Amino acid sequence: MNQLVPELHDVLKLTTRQHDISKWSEQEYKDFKEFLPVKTETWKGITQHHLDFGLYPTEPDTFYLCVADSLASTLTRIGEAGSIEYRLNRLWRGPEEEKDVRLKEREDIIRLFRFLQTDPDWQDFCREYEALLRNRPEDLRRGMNITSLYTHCKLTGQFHRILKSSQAFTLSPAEIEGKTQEQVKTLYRIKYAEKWQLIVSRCKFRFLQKPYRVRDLNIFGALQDLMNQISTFYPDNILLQTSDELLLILPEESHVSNISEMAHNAGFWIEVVSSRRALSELKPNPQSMSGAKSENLYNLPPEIFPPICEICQSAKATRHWPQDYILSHVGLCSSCQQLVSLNPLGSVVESLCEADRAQLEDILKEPAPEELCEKCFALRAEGTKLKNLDTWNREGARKVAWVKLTLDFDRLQRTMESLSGGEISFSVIAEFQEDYSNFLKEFTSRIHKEFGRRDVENILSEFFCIRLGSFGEAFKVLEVYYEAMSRFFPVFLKENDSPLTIAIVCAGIKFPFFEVWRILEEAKGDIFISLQGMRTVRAPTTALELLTKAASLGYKKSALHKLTRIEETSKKLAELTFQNRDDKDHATYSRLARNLYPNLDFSSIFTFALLVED
Amino acid sequence: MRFIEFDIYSDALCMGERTKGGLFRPCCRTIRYSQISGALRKKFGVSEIHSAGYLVNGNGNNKTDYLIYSPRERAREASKLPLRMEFLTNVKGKVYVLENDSTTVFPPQFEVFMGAFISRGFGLCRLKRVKLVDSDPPKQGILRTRLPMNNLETFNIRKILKPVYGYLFEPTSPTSGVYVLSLFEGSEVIAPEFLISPIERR
Repeated sequence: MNQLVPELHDVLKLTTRQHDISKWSEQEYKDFKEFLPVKTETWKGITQHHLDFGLYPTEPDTFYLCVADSLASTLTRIGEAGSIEYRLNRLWRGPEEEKDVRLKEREDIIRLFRFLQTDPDWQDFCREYEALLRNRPEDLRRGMNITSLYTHCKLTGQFHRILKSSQAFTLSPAEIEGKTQEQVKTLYRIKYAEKWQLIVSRCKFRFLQKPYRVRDLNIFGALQDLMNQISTFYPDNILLQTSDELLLILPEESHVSNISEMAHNAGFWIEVVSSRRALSELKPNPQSMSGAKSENLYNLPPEIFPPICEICQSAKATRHWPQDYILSHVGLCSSCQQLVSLNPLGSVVESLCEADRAQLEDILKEPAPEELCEKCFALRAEGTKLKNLDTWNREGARKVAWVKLTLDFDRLQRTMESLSGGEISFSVIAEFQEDYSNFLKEFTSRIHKEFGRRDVENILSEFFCIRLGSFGEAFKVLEVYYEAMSRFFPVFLKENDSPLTIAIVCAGIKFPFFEVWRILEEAKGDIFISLQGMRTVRAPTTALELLTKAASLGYKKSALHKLTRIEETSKKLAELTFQNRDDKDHATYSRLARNLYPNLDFSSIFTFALLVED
Repeated sequence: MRFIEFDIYSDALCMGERTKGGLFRPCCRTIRYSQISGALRKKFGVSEIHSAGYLVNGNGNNKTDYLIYSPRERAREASKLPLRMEFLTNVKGKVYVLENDSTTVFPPQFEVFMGAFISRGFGLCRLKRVKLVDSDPPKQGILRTRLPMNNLETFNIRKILKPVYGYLFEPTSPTSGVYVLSLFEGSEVIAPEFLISPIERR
């Protein structure tokens, strides 16, 4: 292979030896000389990726590496550094146990060099040393030890490939070869602070569809496909990804147009915030960069002649459901095929042969024909992929909870800046992505465990539908959320401005999905529970523990019932009853108040009572 | 340009959107241009009426309710599948009408019918004139109504910063019409203050 593997530039940080080989003592050098992987291009990257190293970048590839290393570093923006600490101290987790994991023994270091002599790529190297990379902070100074070496190395590789592959960052060998260290530093300053620019872009994908039937929820499958398509096309450019939002680093504007075209082709519109700045001015949130441009990109015709598609209402309806579906997807016998193609379906049902009538049994149960556009028709014709939801419908399930987790990127930035006391870097965001993905996996597996796989439908990685026996079970979801948060983001549990929020809509299974989606999209509050869209519980994340505890306690059902009935007549009267020390149910109410008030307002407390009572 | 501000009240209003899945007809949560302008044009018999509005929530206003209704196909003497209709009760809102020769003569209080199910007691709206408002100076905010793109100038919408698009039906004759691209509630715009709400940053 013998190509520079940018991710491996910091492997000397895995040892207790100096990161800059030119600072090694003669004896040290002598000890390891014969084992050093000097013939590999990667070795050049290891030894020449810093402007201040004895060996500095002297060719384009190592210069790109030097720039990528800076972009992927924690160093630049965090406040003052303190003494050395060997443990990781992620902002959202708090400090880990102090442990120096670096390779100290000569044999271990030789083994590392020998392995590097085999010229491994990043995946090969991770197979051997991933645990070490993940446990060693990139920077050991207190306050800087907030990201792992693994994240830094991976991110450096991404930046290196972005810089190297784009025409916007050309660097001829003549510009750097044979230059003195000072000349290279000047070149770096010019490129880093002025000439070279990158675009930081946040894209949120949205759909116009108002899904009503289970089959129409295929729009979420299409969203997932779109996200996969973009991540396959831009594997190095994605810094943070949720199920409907991307934070990207892009070298040229044309890539934003390309992403927007992909979205439009898949039937989505896109909310974009972008800013193009010199590398030295880049921040992970384009919203906080100067010159940020915020726009909603659609691709819609100025007018549509009727009929309009009944699902998305943004394209001409050219297909009839279910007639066109039957003709194109169901194999009818030739005479039935002809009958259906020439007459309205409703008028020929009785004339169909028995075999075809049996084939169409489910479709014929559908209430009314609909006019659909090509995209919505294609999505519906795929058939439902949400098998559980479909089964619950058939089994006559009554209650479900729609659960949506949301990561608010602006809040994430604010919270992390307040926790770190400075501006956050790309590496902190990349580190967060690792934990966020693991948090979602943990949440999903715990939800499966708690409710059983058959009673959970995973619609997106952050969006679930759960079959409930009673609405009170919604609090079990909160318990799972609390446990997963405690494991991955314990610091956020104490934050008033938590970037992670949860919204739950408890509803009958027949409650229209697009209404559920509207409620989820408009949900306000860190913890939000809606009961059929009519009543809500809102609470801050700081109250999560108390809320789950309060829900697990037993209450006198008649007292809760009385309270909710009074509230139906008068909210004020319910408040007075709740606070009345002479009321015969005061013991129950004071117990509720102790756990919930003042984190929850009265309206939320009454809804809580209604849910618990169910 | 100036607009006449009206308070609008109704006991029950069904500003229906398109039926979903042949079973459910949701209710619009704002007073769109096509709906109120159409109602006023019909009431006063003039075409030069441009108006839009929105609902004012709070104090138990604009509560959602549902009605199961079985449409009947008279020709076949058969009932269709029952439809679940969403409607609003105790409706309160604001309506803004562009001031021109046709609209200055509007009485201070009047009634119009708007929306669906008028024959079943829905849709009677009382409008009460409040004051004249100037559309200048426009401000940045979130649009509270739905306006066709070709009518944005009429409403002094100076700039669309972040649009939310959809389509409104525009009749072209008593029996036909076309869906025109329109700016929906939630769009970030520079517009007259009375048509927008402040931008909420979480």
